[in-house]
Amino acid sequence: MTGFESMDNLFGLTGQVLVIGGTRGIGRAISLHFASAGASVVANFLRNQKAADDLKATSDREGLPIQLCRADVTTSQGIEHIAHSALEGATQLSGMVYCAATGVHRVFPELTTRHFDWTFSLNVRAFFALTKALLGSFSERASILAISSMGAERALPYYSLVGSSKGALEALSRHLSVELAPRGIRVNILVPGAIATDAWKTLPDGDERMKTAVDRTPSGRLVTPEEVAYAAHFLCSKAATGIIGQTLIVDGGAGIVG
Amino acid sequence: MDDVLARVQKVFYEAFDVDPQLISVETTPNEVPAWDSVGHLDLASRLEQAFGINLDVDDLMEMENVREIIRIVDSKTGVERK
Repeated sequence: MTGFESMDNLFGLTGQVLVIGGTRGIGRAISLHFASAGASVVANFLRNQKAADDLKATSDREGLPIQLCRADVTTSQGIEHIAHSALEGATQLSGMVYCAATGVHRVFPELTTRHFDWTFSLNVRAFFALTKALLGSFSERASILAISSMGAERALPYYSLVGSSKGALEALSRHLSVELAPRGIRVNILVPGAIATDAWKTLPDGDERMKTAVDRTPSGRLVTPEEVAYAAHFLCSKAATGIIGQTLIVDGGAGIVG
Repeated sequence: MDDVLARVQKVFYEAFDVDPQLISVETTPNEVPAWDSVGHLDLASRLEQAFGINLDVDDLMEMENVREIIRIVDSKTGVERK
């Protein structure tokens, strides 16, 4: 007789999950949601201690197991620190969600090779280095999730560096998904569409572009960080065991509008 | 230092639309919400333009507060402070 998995088994998260860039925006939503779904979360951040403290206060108030880890993942010391902190209270990692990202938003003639280095250092190189450093610490059914961007495939204004770095991140993730699958480690990619976060303020013409994004979305609103977290939860759950090397887009349908 | 600080304050205003007078040598990303990972690169890029310097990845790592920014700017422009 065939048994059915319980919903808890299929969709509950377990073990220790590392969320890089886990204290603001999408990363914060993922940290909170994953902790509420059963995982113990280590939320990494670098610059904004206030945002990190706010996340910790929320998690303490709600009784969610979230610990903070301040580290610069673009440095070897930072990676070493994360590798050590990620395994506090645990012997293995059941997952890693890579949300950290940066970039210089300029037209191509204004970009320099240093801008390239800065952007790729966090968006691609650090993901590579961190995954490598933690490889022996992932459990057999661990899930690695790279948060990408529509800019990996679409030529968005001022986005050539970030977009190309996300393209590299996606390609690397796909290659890793094949190499790590025999170890039982799944790697997938999540592409949020336009999300209502403060990131718009950093873009040239941010307000106007946000309005355009809303107008393009069939639902008439931007996707929320929580909706991205739900999709991330699914990809990291047992219910997604058969999903390897895939890209899930969470954009409210904007990408398919003609 | 005062001249450099004033110029750095102007860069902060241009990057983050923040009142320059609120930026002191003690200012960290905690005091400037837009000074996140993306904001950091925008800030670095504008500092390069404002001071005519080149910042590498290691410099970005060390720019944890305005005091460090001024130190790095000085090192790049050949200024020694006591």
